[in-house]
Amino acid sequence: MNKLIFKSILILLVSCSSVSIAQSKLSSEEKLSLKKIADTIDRSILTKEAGWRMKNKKTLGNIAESEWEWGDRQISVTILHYSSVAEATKGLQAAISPSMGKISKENGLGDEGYVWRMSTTKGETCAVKFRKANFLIFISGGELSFGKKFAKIADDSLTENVLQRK
Amino acid sequence: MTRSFFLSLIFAFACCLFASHTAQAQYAEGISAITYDSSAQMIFTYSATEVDFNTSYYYDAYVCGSLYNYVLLGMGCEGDPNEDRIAEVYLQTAAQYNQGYLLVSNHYVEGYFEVWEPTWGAYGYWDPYGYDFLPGGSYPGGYQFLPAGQTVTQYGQIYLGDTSVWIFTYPSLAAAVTGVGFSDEHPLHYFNFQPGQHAEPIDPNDTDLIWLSNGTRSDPAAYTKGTKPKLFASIQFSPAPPPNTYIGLRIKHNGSPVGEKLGIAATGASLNVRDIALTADIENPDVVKKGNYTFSWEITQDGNTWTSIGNSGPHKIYWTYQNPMSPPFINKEGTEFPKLYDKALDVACTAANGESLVGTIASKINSAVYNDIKYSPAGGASVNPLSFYLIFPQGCDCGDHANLLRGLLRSIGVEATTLYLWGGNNATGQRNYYVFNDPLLGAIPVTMRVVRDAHRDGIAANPHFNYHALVSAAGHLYDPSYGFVPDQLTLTESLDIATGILGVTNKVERQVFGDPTYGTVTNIVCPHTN
Repeated sequence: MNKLIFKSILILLVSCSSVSIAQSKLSSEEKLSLKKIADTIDRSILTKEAGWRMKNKKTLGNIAESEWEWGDRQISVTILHYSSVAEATKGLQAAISPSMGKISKENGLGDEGYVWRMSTTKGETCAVKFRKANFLIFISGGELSFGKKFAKIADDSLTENVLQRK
Repeated sequence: MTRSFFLSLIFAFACCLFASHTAQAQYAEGISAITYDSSAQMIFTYSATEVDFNTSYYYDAYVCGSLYNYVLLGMGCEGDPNEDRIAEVYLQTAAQYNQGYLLVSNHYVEGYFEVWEPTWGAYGYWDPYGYDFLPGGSYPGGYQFLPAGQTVTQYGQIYLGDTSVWIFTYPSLAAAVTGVGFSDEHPLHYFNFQPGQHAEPIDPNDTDLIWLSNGTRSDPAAYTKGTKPKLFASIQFSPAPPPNTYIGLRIKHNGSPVGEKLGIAATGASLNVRDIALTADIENPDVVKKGNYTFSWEITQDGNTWTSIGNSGPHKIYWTYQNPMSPPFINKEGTEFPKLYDKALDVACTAANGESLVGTIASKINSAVYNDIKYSPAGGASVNPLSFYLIFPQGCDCGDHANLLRGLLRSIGVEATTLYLWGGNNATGQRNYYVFNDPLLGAIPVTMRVVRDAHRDGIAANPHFNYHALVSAAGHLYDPSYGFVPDQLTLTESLDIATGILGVTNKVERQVFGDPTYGTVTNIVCPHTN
């Protein structure tokens, strides 16, 4: 019984901590423009994933996107910047109800992460989607191993450059 | 006989600047001419009466000229002192802009008349060519008549009539059209607007000059097909027109006048003219269209003489099927996007260019969505479906595809509805999940299998779906993910939850996506491996 209470308190504390972090990020939103976040993630990919070349980069409203290629492999990194954690959570829910294929939770990826996979006539295709605070990151294309690597880089980059600021 | 002979004579009035005449028997000509030298700001006039050789045997020419500008500015009369058959009067005066000047010339011939008193007691006279019989003519008065049978030569003037000419001192205008705007157009927004380049709403107050001659702006406008747009324009004068200058503006398209506005007070060097209505179609009024139009602009001061002040355009105009519907776009989560976007009209009007039938229009836009946006059933993103035209190169889910098509159709005024479909019980909305064993990925929960050809983007034929989305419009169903018009979604497989039997074709059809987890999950496995 005591263990259960302790566990509940711990979960509650962790939850509060998470919300607090997210809200602190929102309060410093002016300094953390989407473009800066995207640039930071792109620099990290360039540094940590040798061989990949940025093919394209653009922003549209609250969305920033970069496309990467290595040989015939192509991966796109899409960052959606929401005004609140709740909005971002809602956005992620919309992204994890695929019409086909299989989606599964990916523990340890962002605040909430998922991997989508599907068999096609051309082989397997995949997407990695996760939320970090009020950001959603979608990694699409390529093999799942690359998708996960890119997702980890983006996740780490967000942790270092966004969530540690206050 | 004498009278009829005389009446056959010709008297002509000419009001031309440099009138010429040919020698005829018994011919007199009256001339009034006026010119305006805008550089010297002077009015010059010329009045003349000229007679031909035969006439000059009996008569001398005589003329009076009077110049008016509301009041008499000057007058002069001259005979023919040189006996060269012509009497001339020249007048001149300093001119003011935008004034009317009138020259009236009174034409006469002078002659010596044989006057006598016939023996029968009546008075008589002899007017060889009978100018007095002509309209406005008269015989000389004041002469004295002599006793019967006696004659004497009497000098007198015969009034032939007046000529007159009028001129208005229009200033020389150097003008150019520097900006053009459109009124009452559909309220367009830039979808991919770049701050600093242009505003997101293209013409928020109906006052923006969306085309500028300096090249800094050239934005589109949108109207429902068949509309005759109303324009406004900025005209730059150099120098500024003098006071009381009035102009008319005319717009030509492909050489034909399509609109004009008259009676515009030209005040100042910059003139903004609103409400220039086009009165002719610049496009086929029956079709959806994306068109580019160049207008030729002209001004007039007198309503007759038109001078080019340059071209504007090309003006990009989207012609929609009907008035755009609001909100045009909605996403799977139900978020509405109320703005009418240039990108949506560009896609829709390009795809349906030149089409008038709503079914064909919808079908062509359906094909465009299929061709333009990859199909990636990975699930959507909570964004405006139009975003997939600019980002997400990996493509989008069928729900996004359907909402994209729906939004494009509604943007051009075609009513459209997104339909989400699952295998299940339509009456209760219950979705029935069973298991499809993917050879690569293992068990995947699905609700139906649908008849489809293999997809360009790698999806095998007759796939198993969690859900699928279509669009209902113009009396048809459209599947933009597959780029065709199925008219109905044919299932080959769904689950009857009560009996556990697969193979029924029961489907849930909803206009709202709703809770993605709503349904009953079973362990029933379908026999397919692809």
